[in-house]
Amino acid sequence: MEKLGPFVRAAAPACAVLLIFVACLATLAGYSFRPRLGMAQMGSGFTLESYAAFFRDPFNLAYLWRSLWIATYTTAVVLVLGYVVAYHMTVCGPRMRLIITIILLVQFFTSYVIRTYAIVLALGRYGIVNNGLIALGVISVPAKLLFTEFAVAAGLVLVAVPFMVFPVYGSIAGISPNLRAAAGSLGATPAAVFREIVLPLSLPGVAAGVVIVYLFNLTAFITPSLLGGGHVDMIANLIFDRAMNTQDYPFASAAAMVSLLLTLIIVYLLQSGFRRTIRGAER
Amino acid sequence: MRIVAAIGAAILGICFWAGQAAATEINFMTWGGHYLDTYNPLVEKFAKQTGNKVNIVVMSGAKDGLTKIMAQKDDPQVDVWLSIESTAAEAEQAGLLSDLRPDLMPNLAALPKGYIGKQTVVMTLSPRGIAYRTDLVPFEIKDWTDLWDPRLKGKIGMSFVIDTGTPVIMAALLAGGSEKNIDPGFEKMKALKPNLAGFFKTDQESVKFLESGDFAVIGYAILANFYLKMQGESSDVKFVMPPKPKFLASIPGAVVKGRGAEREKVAFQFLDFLLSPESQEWVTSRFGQVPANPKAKLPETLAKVIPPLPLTDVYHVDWNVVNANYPAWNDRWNKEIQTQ
Repeated sequence: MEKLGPFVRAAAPACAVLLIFVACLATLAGYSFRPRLGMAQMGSGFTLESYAAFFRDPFNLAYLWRSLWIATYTTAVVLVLGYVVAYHMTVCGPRMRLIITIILLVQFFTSYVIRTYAIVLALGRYGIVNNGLIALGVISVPAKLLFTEFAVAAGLVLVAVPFMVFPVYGSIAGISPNLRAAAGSLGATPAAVFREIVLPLSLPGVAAGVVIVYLFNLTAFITPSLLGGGHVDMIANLIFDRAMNTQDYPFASAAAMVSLLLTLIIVYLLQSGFRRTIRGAER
Repeated sequence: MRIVAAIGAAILGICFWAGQAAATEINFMTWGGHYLDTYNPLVEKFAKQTGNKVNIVVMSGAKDGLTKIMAQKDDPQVDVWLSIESTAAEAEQAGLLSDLRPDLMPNLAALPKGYIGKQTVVMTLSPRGIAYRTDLVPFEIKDWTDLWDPRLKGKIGMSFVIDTGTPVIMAALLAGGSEKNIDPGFEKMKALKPNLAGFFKTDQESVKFLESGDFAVIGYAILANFYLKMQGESSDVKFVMPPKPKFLASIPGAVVKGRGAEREKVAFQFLDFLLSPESQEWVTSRFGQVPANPKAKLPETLAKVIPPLPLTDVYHVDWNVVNANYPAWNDRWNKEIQTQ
């Protein structure tokens, strides 16, 4: 009975959150099947017209493919950067670890919009990057860095790094130092220790980080909106545009449902893939 | 002694609560940023004069405000709403607004008849034109057609959502079309693409990107966003209101239906307060707008920015046509103009 205590205490708020989430999702799903009658007007029947309209137009699908593509390669970049930082945090001294942790936490808790605006300042025509490149003589006129896919990708990577570092660090820090010492004493090189021990045992953290970062980047809104200049809009921007600018709620809801289903499929595939890899590594 | 003090405190508490309970609280929805700085003192003044509290609710744009009001249709959370003509027209059509109450709005009598609708009243008139950085543009911009000058290659920021597609209407008018024949507008906009650096979706973005120099020109700009920045002697931001077509947007105010008689009464009183000459002079001096109340003095510096009043050749957009076609135009804009 006592063991149930924490569970019972967590159950009430968890149920409240779940209820609100399910209610919102049900409303969204309901809207997606209603007939479109014009701006801010929905009929009361059932129709698949909004889904058909979404899939019929290759322009709408282009938002999806662009989002998938950008999310995939930015997650790969975040994985490499995040893993390097996380690994370094496990081997460096406590002072350096604290400094890195503080930097990541400050970044993590800084408003997403403020961080994105900082990137606007950095990548703008007269921003730090262009001024630096001109000062070094690499370029003579400001390069177009902002309002490009590069700017959106850079923004997504910079904002997502803490989401990769923390779970990966947790995994690597959890590996017993005796394992590495034992391997070393048996003649394994540092590279072999990393390849045979550290990397496989860090996979649970990597899996968690990859899923979080991929979903975060796939559904990005503010970053493509501010840094893309309208040229690199992703699926969330399409949904916002249809909902807020043309008040086409059934279409926007259908696009959101398609995006949600795709997200669920991707999460399932990623988790299955990682589960198999982790099991193989453990053998 | 302790009992006496407790009873005294209780009586004071009851009096305070009764005083608070008598005050009505209303919600006033308007744009954020600079608008908050402008309307906060007015809200405080109204509260001092009437004892009623006004909370400012921010909308990122007129469409955002309309979306909120429509979503809250069954349980409205806004009492007074400032908007633009197209969204106010939509809200009126959807039956979301209350009929004006001239008995509660004595300042209406001073306004030109054309400013007073059934449910909306023009609060101010906001010049539209081109804003640009004089240090980043190699010539003086005077006309809409200057936007197509090759010397502005990659320098212009443009938007479609500002004023519900009016930038395309502007292009259509230049090409012999109008909102009733929009195709020439889209063709003209396609010809502008080499000069476009990017697109913005909110007023704040237009200000930010002009400030940073990422846009040297805001191709369709709202004077209110840049007016204060232009006041300084060393300012390198200039605004021009091209001669033809001229766009002078009405900023209508309205009371949202369904918040109860008491709130509605205070809402109309607040709207009337905003129409008083003193309030009008305060708002228009900060936004570079033309007051709707003729008794209010025109801001002196506004005369240096826009042509002398009364303005001629002001184009009046048919918002019913725009609202009927907006979703299709939005789609075309995304596919034909915004895509690289």
